[in-house]
Formats: sequence, C-alpha cells, structure tokens
Amino acid sequence: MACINEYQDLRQKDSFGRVVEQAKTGDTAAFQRLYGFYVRRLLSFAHRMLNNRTEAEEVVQEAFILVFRKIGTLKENDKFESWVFRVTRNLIYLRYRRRPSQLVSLETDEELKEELEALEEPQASPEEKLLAMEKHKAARRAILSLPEKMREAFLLSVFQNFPYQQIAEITGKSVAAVKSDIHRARMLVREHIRSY
Amino acid sequence: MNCTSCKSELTAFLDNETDPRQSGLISLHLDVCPSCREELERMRMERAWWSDLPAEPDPDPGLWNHIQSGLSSGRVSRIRSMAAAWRDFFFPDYAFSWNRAAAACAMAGVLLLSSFGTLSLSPSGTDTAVSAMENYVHWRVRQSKSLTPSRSSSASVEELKAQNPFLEPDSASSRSNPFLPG
Repeated sequence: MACINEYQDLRQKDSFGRVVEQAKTGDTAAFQRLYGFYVRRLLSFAHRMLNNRTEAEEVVQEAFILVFRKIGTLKENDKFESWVFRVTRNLIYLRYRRRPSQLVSLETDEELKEELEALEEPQASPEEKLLAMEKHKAARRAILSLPEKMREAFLLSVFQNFPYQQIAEITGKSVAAVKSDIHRARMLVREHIRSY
Repeated sequence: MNCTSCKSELTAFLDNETDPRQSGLISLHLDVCPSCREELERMRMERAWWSDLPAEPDPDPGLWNHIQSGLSSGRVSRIRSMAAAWRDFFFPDYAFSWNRAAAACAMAGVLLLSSFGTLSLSPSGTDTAVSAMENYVHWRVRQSKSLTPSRSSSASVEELKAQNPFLEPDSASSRSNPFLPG
C-alpha cells in the first residue's frame, strides 16, 4: 500500500519524468525506484496471463533487464508505463509460442493454496479460507477461459485500471477494438463467476 | 437508443470511456428501461467481485538482485571486460594514442600484403589437383603391377605349363612348331 501511495504521489508531483530521466543516465537508484513502482503490477499481469508464478517472475525479470538496457531509446518519458507493460506483454507472447502443446500451464491446487496462504489473514476461519480459495480458482478459470488477445485487454482494464487509450498503446490495437474486447470478455467471464 | 446498443455500451459507460454525448443518451435510455438498468446493476456487482480478489503476493526478495546481475552481465560488457583484461595483461601502461593506432594499422597492412604475396607464389588450386590425380594414377598402376603375377616372365609360364594336366611336362617346351618349316 505504501508503495502505491508513493507511486501516486510521484505521479501527482510530476516527478515521474525526472526519475525516468535519471534512469536514462544509468542511475541505479532511479532504476530501483522504477522497479519498486512497477514490479507488483507487472507480476500480477504476467501471473494472470501465464498462470504460472515462476514463469511470471522470469518474464518480469527479463522485462526489467530489457527495459533498463534500452531505456535510452525511449523518446517520451510519460510513455514509460505503457512501454514497460508492452515489453512484458511481448515477452509473455514469446512464452506462449515456446510452450509446446498447451497454451497455458495450469497451476496445481497445492500451488494455489500456498499462494493464498501467503495472502490470507492468519485469523481467518477454515470456511473463509475455503471460500477464498474457491473464489480465487473461479477467477483463474474465468481468466483462462478467455482467448489470449481478449485476456490481455481484460486484465489491463480490470486489474490495472488502465484507460482504453493506454491499453490500445500496450496491445497495439485500436481503441475501438480494445473497447469491444473488454465488453466481450466481461460477457464471457460472467458464467464462470455467476455462482460466487 | 435501443436496448441492444445500450447494453453493448454499458461496459464502456461504467469504465467512463464514453464521450459526453453517448453518456447522455445512455442515461436517458436507462431512465426508461428497467432491463438495461438491471444489466447495469449486474455489471457493477461483477466489477466489485473482481476488485475484491486478493492482490498478488509479494515478489521474490531476490528478484531485484537477479535483475542487477542481469544488467551487469550483458554480452557486450562481458566482451569489453575480456578485451580490457587481455590488454591490461600485455600492455599494463596502455593509453590510446593516434600514433600507436596508425603504427598498428601499418603493421596489419604489411602482414596482409605479405600474406597475399605468399599465396601468389604457391601453385594454383587446379594445378595442385591435377598433379595429385596424376600421382594417384601412377600409384595405382604401380600397385596393380606389383600385385598381379607377371604372365610374361618365363618362370611363371613354366609354372603354368607344369600345372596344366593336358600338357606333357617335358614335351611341351621341346616340341617344335608343326606349321613352321624344318
């Protein structure tokens, strides 16, 4: 939460461009600040796209290395956010292509349970834990039921709260296509979450 | 605005992505259409459902260290550091100067020219191939001569005559030719 507040403060003070500018000069502290702002969001996006925590961490690591190496080529500092998400998205699609037979590797219930245990309140009752796990599983199932192109627009809208224009920049689509994708995705996931 | 077009715009309406004119039309339609109002309410509940999901767990604490090491161990930087290590080993007091660079280029040019000269003195590739083939043919001929018994030599003719059961051992050589006079 502190990280999010710091991120919002930074955006409001319009000093974000300065941090990017410092990163362009090779300032490691500026790199680390940018990493701190985006790592959770990128990890969340990659994890939900790939449905595999380890792969998501690898993708985010690759994305940051790539972004920090090529940051000098970024013309508009304000576009850093879209750029870093676009790089991550492209690396995710590379992973899709490398996967031999199945498009998504399904995490086991054990892995899901471990993840939820890391998030849960320690004093939650077993019923609450079970309910949370079922909800989490339903959400995963719903997201995975979406075609990849629709999934990315949906995740960027629902979990990252990006405006349609920015989603279009990240995905390389038109705003109208993004609007249509998000609407259709919401209709498709509806059936999966109906009973929760 | 009818129900179909209203429902198709409701997601964008909830996301504040419709322009003011469209928003006005949708609001007007919602005032008079209970079905679309119900759809809007359902969409709001679904949005709340998604936002209630727990956030992602914290990233691996070592992730930043991996990124840092990944940044410093790039291919180009590795090559540069290797080149620098070799240079420091051979020329510990190395400092760049144009005179040294010019001298190095001149030496490289001389080496290149001398290598061209050496190449031009050597026989051409075709000649070498032809002579190699000739050598091979000669060798084959010599080999075949040494391996095949020489039928023209008198010793081997005598042996063959001795082995021939249709010839009498001594008369064959001493018999005179009946078609020749005397």
